[in-house]
Amino acid sequence: MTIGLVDANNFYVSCERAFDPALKRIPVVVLSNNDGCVISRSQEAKDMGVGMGEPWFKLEKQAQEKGIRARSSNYPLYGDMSRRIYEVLRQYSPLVEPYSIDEMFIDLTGISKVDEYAQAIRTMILRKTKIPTCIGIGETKTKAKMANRIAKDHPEFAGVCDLQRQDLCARFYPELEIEQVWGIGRGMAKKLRDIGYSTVGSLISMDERKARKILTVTGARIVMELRGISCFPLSAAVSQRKAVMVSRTFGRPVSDLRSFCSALSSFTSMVGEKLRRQKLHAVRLRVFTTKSKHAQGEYHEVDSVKNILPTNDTLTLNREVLGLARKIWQEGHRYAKAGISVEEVRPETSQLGAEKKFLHAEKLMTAVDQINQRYGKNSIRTAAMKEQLESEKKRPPKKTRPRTAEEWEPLLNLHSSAYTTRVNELMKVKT
Amino acid sequence: MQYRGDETTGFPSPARDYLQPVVDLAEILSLREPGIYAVRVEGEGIPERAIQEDDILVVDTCAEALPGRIAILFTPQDARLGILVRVGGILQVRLSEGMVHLDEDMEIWAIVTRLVRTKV
Repeated sequence: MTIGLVDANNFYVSCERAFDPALKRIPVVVLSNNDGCVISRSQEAKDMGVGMGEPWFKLEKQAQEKGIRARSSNYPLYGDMSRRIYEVLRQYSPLVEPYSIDEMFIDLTGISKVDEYAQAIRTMILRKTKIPTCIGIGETKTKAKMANRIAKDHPEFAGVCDLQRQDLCARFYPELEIEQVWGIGRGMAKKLRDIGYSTVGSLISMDERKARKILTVTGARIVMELRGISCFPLSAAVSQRKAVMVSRTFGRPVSDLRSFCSALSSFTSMVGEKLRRQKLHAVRLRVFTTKSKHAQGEYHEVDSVKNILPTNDTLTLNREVLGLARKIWQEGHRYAKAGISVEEVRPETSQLGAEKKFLHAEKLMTAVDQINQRYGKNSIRTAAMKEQLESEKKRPPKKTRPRTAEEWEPLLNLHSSAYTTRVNELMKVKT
Repeated sequence: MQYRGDETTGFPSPARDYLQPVVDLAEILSLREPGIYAVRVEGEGIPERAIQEDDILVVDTCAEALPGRIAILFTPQDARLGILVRVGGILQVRLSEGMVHLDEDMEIWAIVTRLVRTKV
């Protein structure tokens, strides 16, 4: 088997650049929700020493002096660009596994001159999506990942590295640290280092029984994979999600119950919609939040859990969620983040009987979903949500929070457009 | 409930086995293709090619850059609309202010392949 790993370079920044020529050849960073910290950097920003995860408030001042441009994360755009990359890959192979928003495994089995083929793929992705990529190739996923890493770190490979080549394994395995292997976490790495295994070269020579003893089955599989024996097969199917969760960090800490409940209500409606789309009922709910007693104090997580009668009715869910919310609410505390997770679900069909009450709720929710599908998210919503989602419909201009927005909402700042998914935000071409 | 022309209560619909979905413009315009994008015209457009302000242009990042075609160009500041012209064997671009050379500060981003006007 031959597997390729296609990995987009600086994906979020590359998406922004695809539609904004002013970002070309200058340092650019993309910030996390609420513009908290750096989550993607252009090469120019990396070269300047901007770190991954660096908080924006620390960077903001020098950013102006150094000409660093920032963008808020724009997930509608990144999601669509990820889809486009996938579509291009599907033209080159019948089996493509989207592993993350910017990494995809592709089956390249049976391709002769796989190196050239991979270059052709890169060229086509760049042409169609304007996004630069690197491709790592190996007999297994772990080797493809490793190869990708090498291609990224060594420009002389021109973006493609094939670790099926023995000479390349021989050259790189002795110098690659075990921490760079896909699936080896800090714990496993420490165990290995303690007994003298620090490079990939030493790791692949480890006896299989010893590997299983020290690293358990998972670790032993990684060793096998590095040797070129596949243990993690390619799969196009996305594993059925068992839990449904929605959580957000607030734009700034919330300290009144009304805002808190309004935020949770809007999460509830998202949870309800997700459940209905997957034809699932929630049977166990968890509401969680992080709070702090003082403005400068440390935040810690608190939660509350309840078993409920199986339902995916937003109104019923909302009653339960608000009940749990009041349980964990403590006046005088500051809340930085909150969320709802459905800890247990069951298929919708197991709904007992056709009780009138349930049928009503079902019809109502179908109507709500259809209205929102047709007229846009939150066109119809529970009263508890109030008007807080105004900003999601119309993005506010830089730096200001719309007056209608609730306190808990993320600050939408430095936002680029949803160029490819909203007809009112298409890229503008001047004449 | 959605009635598509098939499920009737009295007489069975003769159309039942012949139903077709409504015309799909996204399909006609290939909007789901990974290399196809929609962009919006700002300014006066290109009157001699019937392109007006606020028109939506469907552009193809893979179409060949040939003389006479309309291109989306990336300059260091913004995206521009121009007509490709061959001058003495070399492809150049005509913008509203005149002819310019293609180089890395005047790059072809895509070629206009279709025009959509929602207000007539």
